[in-house]
Amino acid sequence: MASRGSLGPYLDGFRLEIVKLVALIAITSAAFVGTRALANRTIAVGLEDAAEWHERGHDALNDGEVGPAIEAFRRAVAKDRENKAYGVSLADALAIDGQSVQAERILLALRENEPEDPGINLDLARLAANRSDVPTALRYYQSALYAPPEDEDVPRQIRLELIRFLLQHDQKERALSELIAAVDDLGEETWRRVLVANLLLEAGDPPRALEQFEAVLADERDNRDASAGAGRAAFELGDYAATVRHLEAGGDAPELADMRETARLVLARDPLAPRIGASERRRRLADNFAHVSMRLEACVPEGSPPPPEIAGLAQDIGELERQVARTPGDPDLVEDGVALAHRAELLLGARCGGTSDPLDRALVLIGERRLGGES
Amino acid sequence: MSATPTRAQIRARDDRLFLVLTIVVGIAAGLSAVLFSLSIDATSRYLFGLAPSGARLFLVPVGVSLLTGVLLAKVVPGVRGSGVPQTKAAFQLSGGVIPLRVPLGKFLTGVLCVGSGQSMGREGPSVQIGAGLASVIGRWLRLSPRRVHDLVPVGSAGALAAAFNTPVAAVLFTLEEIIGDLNAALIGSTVLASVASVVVMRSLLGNEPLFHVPTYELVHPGELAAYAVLGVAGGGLSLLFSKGLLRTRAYFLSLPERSRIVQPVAGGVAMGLLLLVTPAVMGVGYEYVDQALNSGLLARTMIGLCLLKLVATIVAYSSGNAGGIFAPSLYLGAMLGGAIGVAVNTYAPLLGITTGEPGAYALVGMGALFAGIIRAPMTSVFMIFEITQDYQILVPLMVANLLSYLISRRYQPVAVYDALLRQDGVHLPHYTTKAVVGVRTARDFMQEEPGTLTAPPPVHVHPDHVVDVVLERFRQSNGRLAVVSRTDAHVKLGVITLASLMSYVQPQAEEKGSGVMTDS
Repeated sequence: MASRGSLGPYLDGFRLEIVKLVALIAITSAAFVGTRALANRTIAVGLEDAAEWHERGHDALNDGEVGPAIEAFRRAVAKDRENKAYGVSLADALAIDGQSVQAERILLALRENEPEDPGINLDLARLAANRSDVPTALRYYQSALYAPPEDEDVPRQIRLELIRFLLQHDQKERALSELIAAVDDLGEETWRRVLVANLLLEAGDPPRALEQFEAVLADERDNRDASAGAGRAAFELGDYAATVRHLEAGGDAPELADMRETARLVLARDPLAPRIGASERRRRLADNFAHVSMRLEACVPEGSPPPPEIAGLAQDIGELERQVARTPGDPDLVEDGVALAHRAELLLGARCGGTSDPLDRALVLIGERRLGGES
Repeated sequence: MSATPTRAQIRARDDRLFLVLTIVVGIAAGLSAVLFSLSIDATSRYLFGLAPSGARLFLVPVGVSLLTGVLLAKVVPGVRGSGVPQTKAAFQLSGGVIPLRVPLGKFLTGVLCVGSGQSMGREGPSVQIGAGLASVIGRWLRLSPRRVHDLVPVGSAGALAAAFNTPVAAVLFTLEEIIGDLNAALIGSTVLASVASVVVMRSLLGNEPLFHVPTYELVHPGELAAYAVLGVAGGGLSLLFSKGLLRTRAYFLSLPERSRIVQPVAGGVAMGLLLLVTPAVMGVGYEYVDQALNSGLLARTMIGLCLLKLVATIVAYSSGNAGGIFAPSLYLGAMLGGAIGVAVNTYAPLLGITTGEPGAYALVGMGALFAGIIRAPMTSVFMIFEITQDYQILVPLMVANLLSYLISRRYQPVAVYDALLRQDGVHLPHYTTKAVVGVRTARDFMQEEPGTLTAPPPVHVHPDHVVDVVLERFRQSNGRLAVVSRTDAHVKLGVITLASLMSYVQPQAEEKGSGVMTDS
């Protein structure tokens, strides 16, 4: 049997090792605590530095210095990779600098972690929109739109941007479907309701547009933007009385004044208007013929014979005037006269160019209104 | 019945103690790596501030290198450069004996050099610090020389795992590079230390990967050709780096010994001038690697940074500063790969080939340069896998790694770490020697007795001398055969006595017998 004596030194040494090991664990634990304190401090400094760089980047961007802004945002991103806002700022600055490919890559990398983030998707949509990549832009706009919003106003703004994008790219049907969704979620702000109504008008839905404008006017009678919009919508709809009424309240711009005058002339010069007497119809027809005849004459260069179409039209007008004089009570002749004036305006527009005279446009509109576009 | 333990029981308790120590060393090495990294960040922030002026960018590396020049020449001359070659040498030639001044000196000079902007990495120094701590702890606990020796790779693995947050790659690197044998018996200990270290690191810094990388994959089979080109280019750049580093370093070493004190200043001046061109080559530079991996840099920017980093690292390392080449390898690879990726991304679609993002190429480029320069291809593959957590990119990664590795090995047969040691007059045993199973060396019979000799004893052995040589020289000795360092014969590591020879041989015989130790 082995004696205690022969192994004693070994066992004593072994116990000493245990004591030293315990001491070592104590030292290591203390080092852990110290290192954790340093780690926390270093991380905090890093985050502060990142925020400072981000602020400097925005300052540089506000001063129009895109290069330094990009560098500052890069440093912010390097110091705090978790902060999505820094990455988005960097991508935005790169996009401003024309480095859209780099910007998109950064955004795509950010999107890996947060595929539903509305801001990232919106930026990606804008980049795609800038290069007219409609399908990609639509995909990102839709992702941005249907992400769970932090602020209910965000999806409204994104939807409006999407609608504008669709209209710019002649996607009126899709724009209209988004507009209908937008109408259901307009919120209280008047500016947004007016904007949506204007977009409805642009998308080719004047009835809904007029409805929206009038809804705004019901709340704010003096809203000049809504009045102007309502006037334009009414004009599109052929409701010239409403056009005049709305534009008198909000139509100072030259284009709107012109529209208002055209509408007024449509009302004043329409031989087929209801609730006017036969003599008034004849008078209006005669006035319209006089204007058209004058324009036909002006369209023919001095000293040269009139072209056959113009000569034919002038002859038709003269003939109709004679028939009206012979049978003043015949309503069909008035209708024929409206059609003839309309045909003459179209011919004049094609051969001699359009005019800025509201009366010419009014005569075209009277023809379209009464003849249902048959001419 | 006596409670006296048998020798086998004592050995079992010894094994358990070593197991506990492995975990403690892993934790200590992990802590040292984290502390080293944080200290570099804090020093850099202190020295440069938030937005340094041009003058500060130039003066900081120059001024700090004046101090580190003195430290590296007069106080701790053994801690220049990376630390990985020194750790290999300590493990393979010196019985794993690393004096305390080495980890301490490496920590101080590494923090100063990398923190002052020198274009060097922190992982190599972390390895040397971790290994040094392990060696010091082992000797402080009076472990047997064999156990001290075995602790060195344990400390290396722990430190590297924490430095990279890649536990598997750390184990593989230790086996591939430090031990030089993927089948080493120490695999269990290194795994344990690596895991312990990573747990500590993550509890301190969070479970953040070293780089934030999107999911990349091979988009089109035709892309493999592009990755092969990247592998070839990576091999070329690896050669350029390795040969440039070795030649420049050879030049510095050829200068008079007294100039060693100012040599790091040359690196400081060069670094200062480069920092005036762009601060993006400063220090470790991982923030720019991260941007390349996320496809956020222009091709011309990446090419420029690649060239500047190449020059910066070669000068900083060759002039004798303390810092590693892991991080510069990854930086160079990311920039090269990213630039090639942009080119592929631009032109491949013209051929009808859909390609991955440039970031995918930057990622593969990182691996290719690591494989080409460090010559640890398995580590490289697993490291990238651990960084990305994504299998999809592994096939292109292996293709590029293999090509880069083969090209680099073809034109630079001696790996850079071994070549650096050779420049210092240290020749590691050939791998075939190490592969002989069951060969015992002087290290196995040695009683630790470190000291400094005024002159090498006439009869002595080195730790790696095989048993036949030991027995032959023991016969010539006076019963106490000195074991001295292979790198410096004035450094005494221990002695071999008849008792120590017998104590090693006897248990083997007894274990074959009854297994019970008797007191006869």
